[in-house]
Amino acid sequence: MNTIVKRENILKPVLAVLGVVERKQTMPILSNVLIKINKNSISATGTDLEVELVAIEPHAGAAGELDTTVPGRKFADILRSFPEGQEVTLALDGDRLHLKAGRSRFTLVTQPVDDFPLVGEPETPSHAHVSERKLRELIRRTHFSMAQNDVRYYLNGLRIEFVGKHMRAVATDGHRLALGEIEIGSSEGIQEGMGVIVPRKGVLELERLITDQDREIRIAFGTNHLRIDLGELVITSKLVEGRFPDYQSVIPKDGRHRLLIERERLKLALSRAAILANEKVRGVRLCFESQGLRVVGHNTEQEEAEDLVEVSYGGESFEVGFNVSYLLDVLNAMDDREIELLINDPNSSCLIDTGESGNYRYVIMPMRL
Amino acid sequence: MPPPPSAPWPRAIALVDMNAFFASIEQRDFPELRGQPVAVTNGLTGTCIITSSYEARRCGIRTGMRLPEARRLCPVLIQRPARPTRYAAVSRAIMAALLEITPDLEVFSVDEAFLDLTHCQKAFGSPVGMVQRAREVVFRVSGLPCSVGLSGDKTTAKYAAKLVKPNGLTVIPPWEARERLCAVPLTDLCGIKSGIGDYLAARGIHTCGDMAHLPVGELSRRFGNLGRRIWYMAQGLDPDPVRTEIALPRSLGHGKILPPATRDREVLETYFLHMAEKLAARLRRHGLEAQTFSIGLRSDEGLIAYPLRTTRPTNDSREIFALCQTYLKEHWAGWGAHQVQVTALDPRPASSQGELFGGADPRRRRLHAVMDRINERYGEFTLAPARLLSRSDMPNVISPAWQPSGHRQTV
Repeated sequence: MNTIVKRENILKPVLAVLGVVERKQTMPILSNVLIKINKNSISATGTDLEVELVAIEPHAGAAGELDTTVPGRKFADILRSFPEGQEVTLALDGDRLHLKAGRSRFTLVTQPVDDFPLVGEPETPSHAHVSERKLRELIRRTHFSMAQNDVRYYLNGLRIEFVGKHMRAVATDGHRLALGEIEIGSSEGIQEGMGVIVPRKGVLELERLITDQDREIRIAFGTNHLRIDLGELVITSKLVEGRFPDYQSVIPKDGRHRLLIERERLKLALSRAAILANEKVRGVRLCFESQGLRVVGHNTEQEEAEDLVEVSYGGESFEVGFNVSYLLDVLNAMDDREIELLINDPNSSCLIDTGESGNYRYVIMPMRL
Repeated sequence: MPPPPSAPWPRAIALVDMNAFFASIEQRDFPELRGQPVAVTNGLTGTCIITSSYEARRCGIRTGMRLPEARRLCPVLIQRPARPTRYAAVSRAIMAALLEITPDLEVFSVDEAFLDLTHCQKAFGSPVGMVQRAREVVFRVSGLPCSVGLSGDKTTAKYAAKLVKPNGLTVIPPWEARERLCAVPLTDLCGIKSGIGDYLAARGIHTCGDMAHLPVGELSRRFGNLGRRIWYMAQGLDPDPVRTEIALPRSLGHGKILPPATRDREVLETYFLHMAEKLAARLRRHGLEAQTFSIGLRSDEGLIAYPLRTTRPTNDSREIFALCQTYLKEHWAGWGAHQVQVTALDPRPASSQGELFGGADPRRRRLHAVMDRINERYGEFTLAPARLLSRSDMPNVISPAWQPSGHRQTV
């Protein structure tokens, strides 16, 4: 039986899920995309067993039905090669899928639909509604602090938890930490203190796929999965088991040295010093002085950069070293005009925030100078 | 164009090459060997000739030749067992003396060193004068002859040093290097072996002079930066700098022979602790740390080792020993072992980044600093965990990869 679809209507959902489709052929079916076509919609599903993406193209107006799995990248490349608006005819013949468009014909090897590993519905459907735009901001402003390939596997992800009427995200790689909060709307089954860890891969996919739209979206939490329903796209991520470290204890509550500083000026000074900071270690020296904050970077070739951010500082002078990339990551993630640095001594963590009212806080551990 | 004689060379690189190093030391230490054909072998049981004296070489004896074959060529050949610690001491004295000429010294092997004399010209004048002094200095501290090549780059200097042996001095001023190398077969240059040689020969490039006809892209496309370097090398313009720093090791490890078929867990643990302490102290001495360690025991079936990881990169013996205990618990099934091995697989400069969660205890760091200073002054394991009182008293053994300084200077 033939199924006739418009190129765009099928290419769009396939491209949306291609990000999780494996390039390596570890398990052949994981390089396939599950395609479901009926008269109402066209859907494509891709998975890497950690993140599952389902993209749905509603009102696609396809003639005929189809239910199969095809090699994702090849299928997308074939569809892409046609001109816009091209009609494509698909016909399943045993384990082969015949594709015809104009004078071109392709035959692809399919795999049984039943072999495709689907997550299914989350088991205990507790859920909360949040603004899509705010969720995107939350991820954007915290995810860079996640660890990468750490043996402490629970750091290779983003901790999501609920505190009061807020959803909190915490990321840390053991050297720095980012914490942000957004308000939640209506919710069901969410308990105070409830928390999960979303693996790095899932977080990066979310960061890529969530848009700036001002609409409410639903996040559902199961025992093993988190699912975000964007309507045309459903993102399901496995959760990481393991105990997230007690991050509250490393956030300084008070500090001997407090400095209010314009974010943009500090950022520029750090970017300049970073040019001559050691390429591997990335250390810069921050000198708190009465004239302001002096930023010094030097490398193994004894080249040196120095910049002074004039700012009123009444405390005692002292010096502390930081990985300049960690500082710049934080300053790039913030959008406030003025920020506050709070630190006790060169051996304990430094807090960067915007005072009590801010929703985002960052902690960086210094380097020994 | 040659510059005026008084002008400094744009670059001045010398290679000091000790002549028949091990054999010359034997002849100097034992006067009865002087003027005799001498071959040095690994102990008296070794049959492979490590090096031979010039008298032996005149009979056709070469490094790598087997003793029976050498005896056929030269029946009066005298075999001497190698004395590595002695050679290492002489090498160390020579290298230290050469540092008087220039601090820009690269120890190329136990008997070869590159000297970058470019920057010393201001202080010491002409490079030719400096290499003459270098030969005097070498002879003063070792009583041994050496050959020296002087030019504007490493490859030409090395080529020049080979021209007159023993006890020679060859100067190829940088502005003459290209012409002097012109007719030299490429494979005579240091670092160009048959692989690259065949690739070039297939393109009709046999001598250094031919190289000018080949676009540099032909070499860089196939061999990358090395290819680009070879293209310059052939024209007497080798850009490779004299490397004063010893490159980071790919791995760093210690092993020790156990009593045959050791099965006693206590004994194994003590040996592992011994190696962990040694390795951790060595990592700290060179400002290194590592996160992946290969822990293993050698049985009759060979070395059974597993790479195990610590949470964070470390140079603390306690954490390395904990991996050894994990190994014994999870990978050792009670079979008899005759060697322990502990190797850091990814040594890197120790990080100065602080940890938010459970970082290294600052008291441990201070303890290590004190312990390392005491042990450096009063000898290895003067201060050590009490358990090591029952450690093996087998002497340390010198490794073939030994170097006079840096992380390989260890026994």
